[in-house]
Amino acid sequence: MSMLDAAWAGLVGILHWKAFLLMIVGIVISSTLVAMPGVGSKTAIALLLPFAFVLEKFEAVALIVSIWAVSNTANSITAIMFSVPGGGGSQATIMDGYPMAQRGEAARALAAAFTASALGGVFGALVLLAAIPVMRPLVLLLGAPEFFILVMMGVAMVGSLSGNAPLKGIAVGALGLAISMMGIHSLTGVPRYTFDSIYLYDGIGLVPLTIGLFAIPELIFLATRAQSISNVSLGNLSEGRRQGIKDAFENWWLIIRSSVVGVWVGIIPGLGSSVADWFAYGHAMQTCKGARETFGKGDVRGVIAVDAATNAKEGGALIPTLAFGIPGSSTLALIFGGLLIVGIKPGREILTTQLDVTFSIIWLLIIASVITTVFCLLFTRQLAMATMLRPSILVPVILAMAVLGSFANSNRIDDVVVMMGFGIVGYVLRAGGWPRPPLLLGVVLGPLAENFLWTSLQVYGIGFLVRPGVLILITILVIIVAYPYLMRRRTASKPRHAPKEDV
Amino acid sequence: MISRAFKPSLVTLGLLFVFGYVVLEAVGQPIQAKLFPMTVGIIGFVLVAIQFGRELWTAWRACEGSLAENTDPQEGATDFAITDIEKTSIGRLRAAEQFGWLAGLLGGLFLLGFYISVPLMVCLYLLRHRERPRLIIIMTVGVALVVWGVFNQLLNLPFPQGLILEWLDL
Repeated sequence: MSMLDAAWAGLVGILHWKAFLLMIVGIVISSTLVAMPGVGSKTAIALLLPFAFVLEKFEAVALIVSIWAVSNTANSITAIMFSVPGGGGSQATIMDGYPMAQRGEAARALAAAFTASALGGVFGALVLLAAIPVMRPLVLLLGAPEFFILVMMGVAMVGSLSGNAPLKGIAVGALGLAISMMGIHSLTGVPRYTFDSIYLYDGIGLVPLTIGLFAIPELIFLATRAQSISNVSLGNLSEGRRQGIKDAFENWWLIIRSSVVGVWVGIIPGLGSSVADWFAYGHAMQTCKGARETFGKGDVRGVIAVDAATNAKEGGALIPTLAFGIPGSSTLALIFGGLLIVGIKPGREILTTQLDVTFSIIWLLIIASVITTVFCLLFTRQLAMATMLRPSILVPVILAMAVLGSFANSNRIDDVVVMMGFGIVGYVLRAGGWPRPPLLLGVVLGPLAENFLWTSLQVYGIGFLVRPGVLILITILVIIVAYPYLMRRRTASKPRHAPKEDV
Repeated sequence: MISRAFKPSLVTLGLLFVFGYVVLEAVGQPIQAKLFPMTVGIIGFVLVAIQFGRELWTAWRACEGSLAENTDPQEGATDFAITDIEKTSIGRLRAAEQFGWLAGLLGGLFLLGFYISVPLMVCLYLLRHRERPRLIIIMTVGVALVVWGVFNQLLNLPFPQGLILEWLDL
């Protein structure tokens, strides 16, 4: 299939009325859920993943990808209006968004954030598009040994970068890999870690595991709050909207620069929105005229830079996910798992025989970004009102959805038990400061890693470890894992050796 | 102070046992089946053992009074760290209550099936939080309709009936 044919097939696929409708459903649900702090895109995807079982290829892609692609847009609402970050990527939005809201410019800040988000999303998708001709030959050059190291590298990178304790992150990633081994081993037919349970012969389902690991602890967080995020008056949310859109277009060069920052952060597995937003904010502060005096006091450029970067990040994050099968975050691991459910394999296949799916994802990023912005601009008030919902109303509904969604995995009540078990695991890990994203990544990537390891040994013997590509990747992996430690040691030793200086 | 520092170590100890079990269970299996578990199990065991040693060392130094600050279990906190309110006794109580609701719902699913227990849980949860009767009725009926309409009719999920209903032959 040529690139043009694939691009056309991808566009036609997602513009089919059913796929398009599911994209709209995904956008509405995602925007509403991420507007409420505590209920993130991961929970939204996990709860809607069971629906993918009954959908066609493009329909499933439209639903799953749209939920994820737009999750960085609506979370600016709580950040700007209530100084509560709606997600990892909206922390820096508060810096200038909230002061703007306090002086009565909430509508302007929100409109600027939404527009910048759409433009950033489109930029990220275009970068992904430009990367395809580069990625295709590169992916075909790599063999099983390189892919094995890449997969392990993905788990280790997310593990080491998703918290302040790399050791804990990598160990949790290993736990995920161990969980992925549960069930009948495909090559030998030997049951592994099944505890003589017939249910476990098929392994642990991705849907109940994800819902338990992420939705249950978030639900407990909501219940513990026992009050809504906000109950203050929303004020006028339409005056200044036009000015906000104008601000975004007037600062087009800042949007491009911030989007480049976002794409770059996205490409590196493990660095999430919470890094992209501060990098972009820092970049804008250093490069914008007079920023040192105005940033932090309600400068619209601070809002624009952050929102463009966090949405552009998604396009960049898809490059390693689609090309090498390395999801850079737990949300992308979920997308990865969702694609596997409907028979789409990220990696070599998605860039060769299933290129139309890759293009459908790029089209989705572009179309969903624009539609979400229009949706958020039109329904800002309604989305902001979602923050006023009491946890006592939200919790039972999410709990019901969690139970039903888990059951849909294999139509067995055991799935609900597994979901609850992983709910406890998720809560304990969270309470102990063990990052949960690497666990999910390990579960998703485990079967791939095992296949690549065995193929590598069969074809090359133990010598696969000294192939040039493998050695280069191992060196990169060691640097990435060791870097946080070295930096920490350097920081810790500084006060003792360095003379005191004014900060 | 020792107990505070030892709490995260219990999780670490649990993980140490898990990885130990992963390795032990893999020992008797054919090479194809044990290669990956052994690789992952040994790596995981070593990493967690180092972490356990670090935690014990930190706890011991905290006990000595020389290191009080580094005992925070949140050192590895990621995108969504545990909040201050969740650390309080009322926060823990509310968390335990949620697990109680989960367990109750699971029991309900076994005994009464999905059609009854899911709307019933929603109704009881709203009643417990003293929501308005009108809202309770609307939400309970709404959830019952979603269970039946979306999950049974649209997604064709074959919900089990529940032991009591089976026993009553309803």
